[in-house]
Amino acid sequence: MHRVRALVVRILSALTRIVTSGVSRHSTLSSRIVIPASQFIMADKEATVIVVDLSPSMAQSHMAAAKGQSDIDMCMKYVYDKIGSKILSERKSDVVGIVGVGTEDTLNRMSEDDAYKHISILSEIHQFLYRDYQLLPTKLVPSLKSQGDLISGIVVAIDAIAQHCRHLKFIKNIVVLSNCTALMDFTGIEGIIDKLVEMNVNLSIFTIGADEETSTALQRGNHSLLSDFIDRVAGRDVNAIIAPFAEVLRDLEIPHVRKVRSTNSYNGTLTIGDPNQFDDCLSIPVERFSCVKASAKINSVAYMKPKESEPASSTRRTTTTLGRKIKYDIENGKQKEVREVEKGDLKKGYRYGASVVPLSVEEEESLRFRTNACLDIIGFVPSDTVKTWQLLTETNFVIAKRTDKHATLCLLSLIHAMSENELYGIARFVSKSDRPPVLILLMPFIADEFEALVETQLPFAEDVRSYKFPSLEIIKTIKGKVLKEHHYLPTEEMKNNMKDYINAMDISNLTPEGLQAGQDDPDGREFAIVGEIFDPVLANTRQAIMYRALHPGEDLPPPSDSLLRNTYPPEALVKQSSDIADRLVASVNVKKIAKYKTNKRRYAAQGEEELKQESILNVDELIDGSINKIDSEQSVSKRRKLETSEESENGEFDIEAEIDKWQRTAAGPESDAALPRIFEQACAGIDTLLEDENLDPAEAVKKISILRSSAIKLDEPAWYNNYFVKLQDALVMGGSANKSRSKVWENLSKKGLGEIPLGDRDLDE
Amino acid sequence: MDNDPIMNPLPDVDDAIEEFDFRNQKDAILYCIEVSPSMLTTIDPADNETQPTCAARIALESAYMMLQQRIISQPSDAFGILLFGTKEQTDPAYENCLMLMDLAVPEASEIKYIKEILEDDEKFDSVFTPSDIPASIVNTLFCANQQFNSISGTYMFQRLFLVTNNDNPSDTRPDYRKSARTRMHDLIGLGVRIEPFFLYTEMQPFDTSKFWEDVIFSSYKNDEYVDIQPILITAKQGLQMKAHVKARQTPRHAIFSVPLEIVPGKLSIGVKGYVLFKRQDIQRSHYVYEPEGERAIIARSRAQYTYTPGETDTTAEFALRGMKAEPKLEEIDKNAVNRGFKFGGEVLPFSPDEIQSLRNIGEAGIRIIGFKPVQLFDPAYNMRQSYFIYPSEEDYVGSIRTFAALHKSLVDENKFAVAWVKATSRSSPFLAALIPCGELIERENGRDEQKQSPGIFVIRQPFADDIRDFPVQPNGDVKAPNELIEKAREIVNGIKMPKGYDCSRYPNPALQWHYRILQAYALEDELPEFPDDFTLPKYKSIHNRVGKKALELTRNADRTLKDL
Repeated sequence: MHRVRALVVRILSALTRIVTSGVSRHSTLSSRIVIPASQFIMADKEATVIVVDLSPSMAQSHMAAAKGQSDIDMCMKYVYDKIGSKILSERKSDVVGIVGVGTEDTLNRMSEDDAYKHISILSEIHQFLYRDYQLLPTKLVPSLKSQGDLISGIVVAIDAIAQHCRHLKFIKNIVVLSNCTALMDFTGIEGIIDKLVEMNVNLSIFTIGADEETSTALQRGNHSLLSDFIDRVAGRDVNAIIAPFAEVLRDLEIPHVRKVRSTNSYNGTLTIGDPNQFDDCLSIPVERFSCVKASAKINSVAYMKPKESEPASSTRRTTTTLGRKIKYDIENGKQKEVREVEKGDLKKGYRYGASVVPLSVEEEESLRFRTNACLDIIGFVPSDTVKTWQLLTETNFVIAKRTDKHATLCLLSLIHAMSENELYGIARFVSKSDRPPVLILLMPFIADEFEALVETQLPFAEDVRSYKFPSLEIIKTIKGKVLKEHHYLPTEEMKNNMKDYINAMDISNLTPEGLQAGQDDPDGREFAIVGEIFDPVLANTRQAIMYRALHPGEDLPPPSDSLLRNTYPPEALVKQSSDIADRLVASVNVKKIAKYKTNKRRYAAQGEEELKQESILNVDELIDGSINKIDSEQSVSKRRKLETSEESENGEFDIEAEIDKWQRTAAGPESDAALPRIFEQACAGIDTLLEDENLDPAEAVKKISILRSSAIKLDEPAWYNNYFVKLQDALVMGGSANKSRSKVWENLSKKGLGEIPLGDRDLDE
Repeated sequence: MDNDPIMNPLPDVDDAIEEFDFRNQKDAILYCIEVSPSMLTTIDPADNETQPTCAARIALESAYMMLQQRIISQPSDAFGILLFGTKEQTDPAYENCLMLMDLAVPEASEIKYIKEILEDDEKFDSVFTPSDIPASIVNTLFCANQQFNSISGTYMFQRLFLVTNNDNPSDTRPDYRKSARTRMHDLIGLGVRIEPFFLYTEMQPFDTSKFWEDVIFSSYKNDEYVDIQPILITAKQGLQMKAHVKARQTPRHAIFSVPLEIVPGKLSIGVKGYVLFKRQDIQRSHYVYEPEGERAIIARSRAQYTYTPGETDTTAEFALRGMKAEPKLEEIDKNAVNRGFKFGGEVLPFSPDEIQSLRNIGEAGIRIIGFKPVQLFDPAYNMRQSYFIYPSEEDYVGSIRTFAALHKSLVDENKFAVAWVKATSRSSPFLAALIPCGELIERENGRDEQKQSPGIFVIRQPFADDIRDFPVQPNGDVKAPNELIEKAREIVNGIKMPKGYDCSRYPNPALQWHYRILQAYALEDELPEFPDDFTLPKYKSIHNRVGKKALELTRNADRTLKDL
């Protein structure tokens, strides 16, 4: 576990910040070093200046991986993503400025100096809004002939940051994007380095095609000088990095993780014993912070365009989010008229079945279960007795009160004692007074530099739903006979194949290629590790919003494949285990049942949904039945009608009516014998129909459909299935096939009126 | 504040998988209790603590107990109590059937009536008077049918709890069995599930093979689990009966049904997902309108969109102002409202379909990514309650045996599966650990009780986005000396519960208190004084076992601190 956590932290930090210290020039984005968490927590405000090379060559393509796209287009991917994320975060204190190098004009504080010609502050440091974002493509355009000095651009950026941040605490970043085709002036670089160190600016330089095979000597020279520059900055304990843009592109595919600062959610003590009764209790002041917590989702909002009657102005926004107000309606009187009531006229109350229990404020108070904030240990349980599937909530860290060394000592002792004895704690927890108490599980958590208890809630008696499911290893018949062989039970062969497969597809230690690694393989690592997979919905939503911002009115692109990276079994491993997999697949012999489109498979489908469907279908019929029972006159008349129809030789045989009749007389002794006869009669009726020269296919299909559902209702699928075989002969094979008859057959297959799947009804017979 | 619309904007359509909250599902339960001389035979208590009772009384008590809580926790449920074999009858069409409570959403007065019957022996005896001829089960089922028919279509789950101690009602009537089968068919056709509670005593055993197996199983599908094992009934076992009623009160239903892919592209089976653990919270209160001299009615709330002319954005200041003084709000018709996402002060338009499509990533299904040793599973990453999956042959023939092989192999090899889960076509996908759990059966009071069903739990794992940094610890360099750990070890071992945590021993005290007080208000009873709280630690025992050691640990820590 410790291993996992440490890794997660490393990865997360690497992804969120571009940092390095003392890393050589060839350092890559993936080998960054963690900066202490405290730095994130304390420094809230962040200022970033992006220095973009806009010299004419940026309109060309220098990077092989860009496949012909211009350098500036590549840069824009980064700029859109970086700034778009900041806008989405809605943080006022996360500000951005943009400096263009090689612009037509010159716009900076040092513009009198020739070294700073053709360098423009395209956007002062400020919180970016939608409008600024939309202007990016028009602002960041390579000039037609101007060149500027990139190093001077960095100086302008430093100056902008210094002006904006003054002495205030900020995280300061400068990001430089260039193809290094223009001359750079490294004179006075010492002073620049001093300034960067003094201000503690994180510097990242991303070069576009500057150290590739096709790069010019000038590009290579520039790249090498920039690398030296970075090394010297990094050598003075400032985060500095240079990397080819191809790596940035790869990183852009990895979604942003928005860091959230956790706040203490419990201020109290962890207690063993009751300090009010006894003076020999262990009371440790503790605090509680989130360990895992579902990240905030991006929710849509209701909005409208401002009314036309309102004066338009250039500073106004074009959309307005709407508020919501809760209104209350009551249904009153016999006419059930609905009228609105004021909230002030309402009381709180609860439903009690069909009754309503209104409560006064005092009464409502008395419903509250009075508690005091506490974290009281009930006892300790062996960790292997804990059923991890019972845990209900997100987890929290419980640590000793941070200013209290005594508490730290006591809690750490407890954590180690629990860990060494493989015990988990059970405790009663009330986070704030008068909140309902919950029972929690406390697990020792020991990482390299961090020790805590991890807490999550356990279920109460009421929270368990005791659904029962049959055994997977034996089949018990109704008569109590135990079967060890059955098509529901796996054979030894199936079990062995499955075991082989599970072991072949073990992903706990894989080589970078995705094959199982040896135990001592230094490159071996766990695949699909917790914390490496990103929330695809969140990432997709962010991408969609940024896309819409840049391409209003266009359809959204399909979700990017990279969202689901690492959520598939590693390809190489799948390929390697394909023989074992094939053996398994052959032995278990699973068959997919074709879905009927038009007709619900009422028989094979055994879910409650289906049962419900059926109940609706039968309701009318059954209600009819009960009315008949109560209203004798009606009953007689219906019966008479049925009898007539049965007696009349040419009359249609109505199997549904027959069954209805049968059901009402079912208590009689003759019923069981009568049923097959009724069924046969119905079949004969259909046969006659099919022989008719002027056969109406729709009519025939309807009859057959009724026959089929009757067989299902009667729980005698075989009756229909037997008949169906004959029917098939008559319609297709028997030579008597004609157009109408083929049509009947076609419709039968289309509507899924084939044989009734037997399910597994015959098991106990 | 909780209801403030501005501070708590409406979240997007929740994941469809969550929408299926079991509280929203409406149940109908008809509780049928046989009344016969043997059901009314006094059962003498084995000890002095319990009162003499009878099977019929225990049955009604069980029904009442269930009713008491469900009327509050699921106030939309329909509930009925039908006594059969009584001298009295409600409707001449159904002989010897007495509707103690019609199958409908119950009124407080009806609960009160049941309570009175249980508290007043005379009343009990007059209601529970058996008829001279034995009860007709056929007739009873027909009566039940009529009850369910009257509410048909409104309820998601309809169940009939059948309490009897007669193992062969067909004794004297040869065609009886067939008729009973038919009635059972009818009920099942209506969508009613039968939950039998067959009672026996040492004097009067219950043989399910005589009559009931035939009648009940003729209507059931094979992979359904119907518990027809008889329940021993003694004065003390009244509790056991109640436990059985409680255990079966929530109908089993799947919340999703998806393919489980075991071999990529080659082997998928059908599984259904269930929720076996879920926090049962206190029902939220409603706003109630109480016209003078009339019954109180619940006010229906609806959200009204509002627009403030001149405002450009609902910023925090606007929200604040909205609470202090009513700004000039214009009400906006729902149809005039667009939806979109905020971006840099504007709202970018998104159609409802587009908003939904953002979470539609991939097809619904569970895809196994690979397998890992169980030690690599870490409960510290728990996100929410688990799902339970069990195979279904509905879409793939052979699912059960393949699932069984997977289950067995995982248990034997001590492994779990890592999977990508999208439970329904509308829900968001997530990473999960698939942890197998074996079947556990215990022999209890002459019955084989399944304590744990076999299956696989789907435990959601966090995304990178969900993992928080460690909190900063200024005293991070402090290490616990062995001597202190040794003391702590004595403490943790001193109050060890070797059997582990058994949730059935801990009812939710706040929830139970809520039920009791609300019932007292509803039935105009006296308020109970003190709540029961089984979650309080056994302080005295802790004091006796580890008090001294706790004191020592505290003192030793003091000393260590001085030495630092």
